[in-house]
Amino acid sequence: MRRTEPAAAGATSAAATGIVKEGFALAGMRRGRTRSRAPRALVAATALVAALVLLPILSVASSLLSPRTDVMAHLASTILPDLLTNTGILVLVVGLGTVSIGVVSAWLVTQCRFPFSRAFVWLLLLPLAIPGYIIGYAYADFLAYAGPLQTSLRELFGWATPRDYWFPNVYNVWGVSAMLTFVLYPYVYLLARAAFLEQTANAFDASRALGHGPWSAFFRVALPLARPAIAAGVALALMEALADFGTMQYYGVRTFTTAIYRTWFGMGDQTAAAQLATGLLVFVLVLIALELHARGAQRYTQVGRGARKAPAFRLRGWRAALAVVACALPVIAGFVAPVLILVRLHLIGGDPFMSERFWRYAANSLTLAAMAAVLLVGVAILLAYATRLSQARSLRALVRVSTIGYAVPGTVVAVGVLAPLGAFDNAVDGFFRETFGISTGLILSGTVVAVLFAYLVRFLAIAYGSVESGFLKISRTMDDAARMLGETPGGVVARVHGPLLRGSLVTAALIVFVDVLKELPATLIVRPFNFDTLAVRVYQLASDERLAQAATGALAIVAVGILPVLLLMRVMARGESAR
Amino acid sequence: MLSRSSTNIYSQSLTGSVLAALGEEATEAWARGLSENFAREPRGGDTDQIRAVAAGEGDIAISNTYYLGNLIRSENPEDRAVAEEICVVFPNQDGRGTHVNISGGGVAANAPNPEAAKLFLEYLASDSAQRYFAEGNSEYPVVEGVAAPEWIQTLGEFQEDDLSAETFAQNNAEALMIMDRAGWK
Repeated sequence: MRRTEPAAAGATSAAATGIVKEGFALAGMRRGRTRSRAPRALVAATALVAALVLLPILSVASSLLSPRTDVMAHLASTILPDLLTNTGILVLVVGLGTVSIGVVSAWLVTQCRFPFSRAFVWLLLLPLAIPGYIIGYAYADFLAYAGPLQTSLRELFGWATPRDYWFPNVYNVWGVSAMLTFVLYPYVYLLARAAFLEQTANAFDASRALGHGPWSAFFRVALPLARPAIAAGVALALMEALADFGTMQYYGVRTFTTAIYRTWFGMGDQTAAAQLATGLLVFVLVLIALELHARGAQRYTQVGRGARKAPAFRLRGWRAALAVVACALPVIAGFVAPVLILVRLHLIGGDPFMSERFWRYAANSLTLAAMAAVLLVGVAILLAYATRLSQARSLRALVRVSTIGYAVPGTVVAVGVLAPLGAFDNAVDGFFRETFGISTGLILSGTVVAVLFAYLVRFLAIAYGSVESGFLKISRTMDDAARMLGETPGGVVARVHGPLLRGSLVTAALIVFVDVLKELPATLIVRPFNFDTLAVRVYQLASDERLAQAATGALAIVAVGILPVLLLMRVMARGESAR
Repeated sequence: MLSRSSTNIYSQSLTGSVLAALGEEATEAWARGLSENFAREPRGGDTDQIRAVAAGEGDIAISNTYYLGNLIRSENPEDRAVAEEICVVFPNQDGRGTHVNISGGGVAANAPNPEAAKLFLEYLASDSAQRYFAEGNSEYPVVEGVAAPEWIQTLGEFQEDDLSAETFAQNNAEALMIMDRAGWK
């Protein structure tokens, strides 16, 4: 379907419903050709970003050119069916789980009033502070046969062996998927909530006035309007789930990440490992393609702000109780319970961590996370403008390419980053030795630059997803209107886009910040010597089976992760009250 | 039987040592027999296997002794109670001896400071460093004359498989493929 923009005159009447579905042109005015071309510098910068992201991925994937190895044939006949089944289950459970929890809770807190509904707005974000591997370690200890829960049950009922009673087995792909769902749903919640809030009440009112009940209005109007945001959220959650290594490894669940690791380090076959990594990439590309196809030619834009805030449904009685339960369960499963388990472990045999060393780890973590947040949001804005200013398919393809790194497991990104940087350092060193007789040594390898490079590859999708969904809601007619009223292009950016985008930018920065703080494998491999972060410290203790000691650092990561969550809530609250 | 997953290096080293002693076919039969007797799908670390035996989830767990040592020396009474529930068996005492993992070190061929690296390795083999590992991480000291911690001495002497770590490391890839075929997850 050919997209045409609603003309300004049409927009006024469309403002009655507050929504314009583009493609349903109210007047047949085509947009001018001049606007469909992005400035050359922007195109060049986009191409550079895409090239940077592709470099490590290609350096890993280039081994695909090698013929299929014996190891690959072996894998295909032994563990591959398991990998595919487990990955399928993981995608299904995490996908359905995060969408149901994220959308339902976001809708409840934005549209309904019930006991604690205001507190749930931020409580629901808390699981964002808990990395997948940490919730995995916590529940592994707590739910184990020898763990506190089952031991107490046995004492209580006098059971002696596993044959005396039934207990759900969580040590499989279903259990791991459920745990990951409880820490990943905030991605959907966060973006869905922002989308619901930004929806003008008019659309909902109009649909009610046209005879839809609240449920039908939700499914026919609110949900479709929020769909780009929900899709972005679930895509983030799924990619994170597919890239999880620590939890899968600990629970003995075979997925692509663990298979890549064992093929690489256990069988010493980088080619087969890279081929498996490519298999994982294909999974993600299929996901992205499915979503793009499903969204099709639909574009949603809002014109004007809602005349007033959306009315709140006041829930009472069993409905209120149900709402409280629906919001409390994910918070308990994804945050309260794991934190309590960690606190218990810490009290039993925690690290004396509040030392000078601890603060050094914390400072390293915070510095890296802040640098990455600034860098990635900056690059995301660049890509978002490139997409906005140009309709060129090739440019859009470049932007898509720039965001595929999120699907690549951290371990693979790390090795992919190390190889080209090492080659670059060696080339520079060789040149200087030959020309000037001096050795420059390693310039980029083992520096913070290398770590930031890995983060750029890995997390650009997160920053971009959030920034883009913010841009999608700014109608292009607004740009046109501002220009007609005499704004310069820079003025449009500063006085129109800036204020409208603020929420999305803060969201993007926050998610990157917290994700970098939690990130483990890439940091572990690429970090400079003697540069430990909190996550690295926790991993080292946990893999040494000092879970109690690791609990202290894990709690610190969680605590630090909460701070930006609180900051986000404050900024959002201010933005909303300013409305 | 309780064991870690085949992805873990300890499982791979053990299978690599069996492969060196018995050859491919017998090793696969051994691994298959083991896998068919797993009380649960392999998961968790060594300590988890020990805890599972103590709790009665299985009868026998494969584990490195130093994890048991860390439980015995733990400040947490629950950990010490776990250690009291189990006993240690060294297999193959009439044959080639028990498989042994090492904490080893080496110097990379292109290391910029090989002399310093050698000095460090020599330090690791000194009496004080050996005591540090024995007491800090419950490992067996390898230098003669350095006494093992008391709890290790209570385990008694055992015959160890003197297969070089280099050999079972070389066998690693093949061992992992055998484990895959045998269904050791």
